Parts: sequence; C-alpha cells; structure tokens
Amino acid sequence: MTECFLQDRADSYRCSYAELIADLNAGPHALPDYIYSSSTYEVFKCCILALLLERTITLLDSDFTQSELSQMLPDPRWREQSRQVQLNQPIRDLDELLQRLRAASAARIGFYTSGSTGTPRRVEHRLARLMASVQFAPKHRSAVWAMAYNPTHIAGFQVFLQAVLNGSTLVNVFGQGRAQVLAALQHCAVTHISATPTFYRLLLPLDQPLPGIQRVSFGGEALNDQLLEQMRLLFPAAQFRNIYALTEAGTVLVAQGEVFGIQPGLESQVRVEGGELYLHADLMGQLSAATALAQDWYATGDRVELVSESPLRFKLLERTHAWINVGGYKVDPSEVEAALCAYPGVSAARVYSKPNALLGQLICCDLVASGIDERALREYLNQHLQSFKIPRIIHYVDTFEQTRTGKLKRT
Amino acid sequence: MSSIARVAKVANLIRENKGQPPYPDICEATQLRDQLGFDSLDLAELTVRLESETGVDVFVAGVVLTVGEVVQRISHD
Repeated sequence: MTECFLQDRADSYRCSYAELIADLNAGPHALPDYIYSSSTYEVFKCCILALLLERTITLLDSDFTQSELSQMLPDPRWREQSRQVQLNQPIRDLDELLQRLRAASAARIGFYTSGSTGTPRRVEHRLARLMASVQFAPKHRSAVWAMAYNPTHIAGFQVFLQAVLNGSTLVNVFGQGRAQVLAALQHCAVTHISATPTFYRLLLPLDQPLPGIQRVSFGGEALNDQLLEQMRLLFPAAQFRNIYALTEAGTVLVAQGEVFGIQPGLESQVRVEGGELYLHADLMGQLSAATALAQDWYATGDRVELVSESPLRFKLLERTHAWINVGGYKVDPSEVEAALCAYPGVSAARVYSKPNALLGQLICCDLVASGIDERALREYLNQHLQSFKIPRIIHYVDTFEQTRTGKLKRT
Repeated sequence: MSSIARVAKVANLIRENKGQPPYPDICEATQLRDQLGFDSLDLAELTVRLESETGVDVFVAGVVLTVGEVVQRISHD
C-alpha cells in the first residue's frame, strides 16, 4: 500500500507521499514568505519546500481578518513577497524525502502569537530547535496523527514535524465538530492525537471506547485529573503525555500526568520563583525587536504549584496572564477593546472573561455606547477579528470602574 | 418561566446573534450541535448565560448533547 501523507475524515481527500513527492519534484513552485492559505495541503507543501530549501517562512492563520493582517503587517507588499523555487535534485522516494528533511535544520519558521500588546507579535524559530522534541523511529512510519491544532500555530507545526519527519500519516480534524472528529478517528484508524484539553472534553460524552489510539498528548491549557480519568476510559490502550509548550519557546516540558519534572539537560534552564515559571533565554525563539528579552530569564506568566523543590516538580495552575485562554486560544483583551472602540458609537470598552467548564474562559465585554445596533456591531466584529476573540456576551454600562493606577479593572 | 422555555430563549438568542432565525419547536429531544448547529463557542455561551440566571455551569459534570439534558442539569441543582 502507498504510504498516505494527508487525508480528511470522509476520505474525500487523500494524498499519498508518492503524490506529494511528484508535486515537489514538478516545480518551479511559488513559495511565499508569508503562508496564508485555507488549504492544509498548500500550507504543508510550502513548509516542506521551506525545510528542503532552508528558507524562512512565516505562517499566518487562514482565518485572520483583513484588518488583523493590516495591523500585524502594515506594509501590504507582504502579499507579493514570493519566490520561484525548484528542488536542486528530484526526490526519489519517501526514504530520501525523510533523509533530506531531517538534514534541513537551517530553515526558520515564524509564527504569530497573542501577547498583551494589542497586536499579535511574530516569533521566529530555527527548525533545529523545533526538531529537538521530535521522536524518530522506524515504527513511527505506521503512525496516523490527528491534526487537531491549527496547522499554522506552533503546536500544529510540531505535530506536522513529528509526522512528516517519520513518514507518518496526517488526518486533518482541525475545527471540526464532535461527530466528524469521532468518525475521522475511527475511519482513518488514527493512532496518535495531540490536542488541547478542550478538544478532548468536546469528544465527551463517551459513546464507545477507541482502543486504536496509542498515544494521547495534551497541551495549551492546564490539565486536571477528572478529564484524564475520562480520557483513560475513552482511549483504554493509550499512553498519555502532558506537554508544556509556548509559541515563544516550542515544546519545553513533557509529563505523564499533571505533574511536570525537568528532563536531564534542562535543569539549569527552568526555574520557579514566587510561584511563577521562568525559562532561560537559551530556550526562547527570536522575538521581534520590540519584545526582545531584557534579561536572561523569561517570565512565562504561568503560575505553578510546587510538588518538590529538588528535583523540581510542579503542577501547572490556571494562567494569570493579561491574555485570556479560550479553549487553548490566546486572546489579547486590549486587541479586542481596540476593535470595539473603533466602531462608531462605542466610547469605551472593557473586555474580560467568564469561566466555564467547557472552554475554560469565554470572552465578554462591557460597553459604554450609544445608538448601537448590536447585530451590525457583531457583523463588524466578524470582519475584524477571528471568531474566538469576539465577545459573546455584551453588557451596556454607563461608566467603568478604574483601578487606583487609572487602569481599567478587568475583574 | 419553565426550565425548557428558559433554555429555548437563551438558545435562540445565541442563534439570533449569529444572524440565524429562531429554531422552531425546541423540545427536550433537540440536539444542541446537530440541530441547533452549536459549535464549542456557542455551547460555552449557552452555559455562561444559563449560569448567570441559574447558578449552574451546565458542563461542569460533563458535556451534554440535548436540550433535555441541559434542562435536567439546571433543574437538579
């Protein structure tokens, strides 16, 4: 059987490694500096070309709105920045593709991440750094990975790397509903999943166990024992891994359950101070100039509960960032407030979150506004923000409370 | 207001905010995802809105699939 590279749930789309290699060999290809495509295949093909040719590319979410893009990339010429590229030597077969990809450590990949500055910021990683957490083994050739993360986010890119550097199959389930995901896991005989706790929670309630799943990884949000227990019932044959990763650093720590330890070699680069996790600058990607590290240590903003000091072991608590975690997606409240205040009739906006058991947090806002048609406002927001950033509940108020320093009170 | 009327009202408000018409005849058997077309953000909005009225986070004891199960959760607590 020909090895499958990428497929979707209904088998309506299936691309083998042989077809991928034929496409790569065909060239010349237009390789944009900024990858902005709703086709998962196109995104992955561009990534593979960038890897093989050791180029620098930047991945953009396909649902970024035009106004988000114009804030992130004010010079519109980014759309035309593209090069005609061709492989020097055609690739003979999958073994050679894997060999060439594994040797391609000089490529650089840029990602955008929400911080708390009002605009998503760019972080660039050397491929070699991202490859450090990839496991290589011949047995992985038969693995079938569910792509549950956005492929243009670092977590999705790590799944892509793990799969493609081993010749494994990728099954795209990103953004799909419960019924479709469950059908895909069974129909495509998925063996490995990496996703947020929210993704797994949305697979519940349990219909029937899925014994074909061998490996289940969690990341992006705090994991609790209750969900882990339910997942042991849903995936009775799986090994579980809890991953701590940041867009700014890639995968940093891996644990069996809730409690993280520090793997050998990283002891001097991870520390806990005042209940907060700090990472050494050596672990971090290259940040844009405005957000360069001032010191050797990066404050992650992640609160932890110490289990033991030596060796260092801890549990991750809910985060206390300025940004809000909606089901594993970071939302910067000041970015949303700026979009709201740009709407005619809105004089002030305060964005905050309400906790819930499904997505962790939900975006809400208070508005000081007059003469607003809420439906028109929602349509405007749909054109200006990714959907998970848009306030779901809007309250109208006369004025806001402020903190003593004059900042808006968010809680 | 009966519990089912309360859930139906919130469900239709969520649909309205998405520019969709009210769902006709919401009953206990109505499926949140397959019939009302709710995605994960809609479901989270449903539970946050109902919690502010009833004090119950519908999904805290696990995810539910139908309007009837939501009604059961908010009526029991």
